[in-house]
Amino acid sequence: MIGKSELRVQCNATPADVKLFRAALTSFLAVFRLNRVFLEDVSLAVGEVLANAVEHASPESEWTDLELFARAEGTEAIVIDIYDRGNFVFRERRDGRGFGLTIVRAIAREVSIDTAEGTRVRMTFSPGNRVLRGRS
Amino acid sequence: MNKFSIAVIKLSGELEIGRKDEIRAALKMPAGATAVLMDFGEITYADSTALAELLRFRAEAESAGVRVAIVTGVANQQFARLITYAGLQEAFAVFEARAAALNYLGGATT
Repeated sequence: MIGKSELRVQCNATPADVKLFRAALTSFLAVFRLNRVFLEDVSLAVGEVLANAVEHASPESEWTDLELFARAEGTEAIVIDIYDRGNFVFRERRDGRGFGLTIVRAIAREVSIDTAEGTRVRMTFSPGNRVLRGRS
Repeated sequence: MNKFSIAVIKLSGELEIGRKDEIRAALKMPAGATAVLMDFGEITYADSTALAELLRFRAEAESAGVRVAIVTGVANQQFARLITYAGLQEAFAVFEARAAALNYLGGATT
């Protein structure tokens, strides 16, 4: 049984750095022996939120202050917060854009967005029966 | 004279926001093609950035009367799940097998 575990990644990022955040998260989650499809889906949802944040960086700079905070409560729930200092601008569907939030909501069990100070998107994922039991 | 011509566009690796410009550059309508087969067999990840570019390409192809098929291969279902999550299952002709995609594209000329 794995107890509570946490990962926090905080840095100034550009669009090219989104994959690094995803890689850090995937490595963190690997210890829980979740199945590949679940990991890919979590990575996709997190990537969408990160991409949204860096795409709407300050017009003065290509850099965005990003923070990813992931915590796993055993294998029952994985909660991931993405924080940036920008304003929430997940775009509506238009001209083929704006599918990010739709994708996130299709994957996560719960999604909440707090714009009180910057933008914090919280996603809760349920591995459910998608945990590989035992060690091979 | 047979004017039927299938162009192949092959993309690989992770199609994500960091490669937006590269994806856009790759998705140009091939001159003279009557159909386009997009080979996604070596794609390991795709996100909504890739979807947006694919939708743009599809619109361009449609207006040119060019049919487009996407081949994912059997092993990688991430792209198929992506379009399902986005609600775009009907927007793309996606095939696991190349033969089925070619058959679909060939049907465009009959």
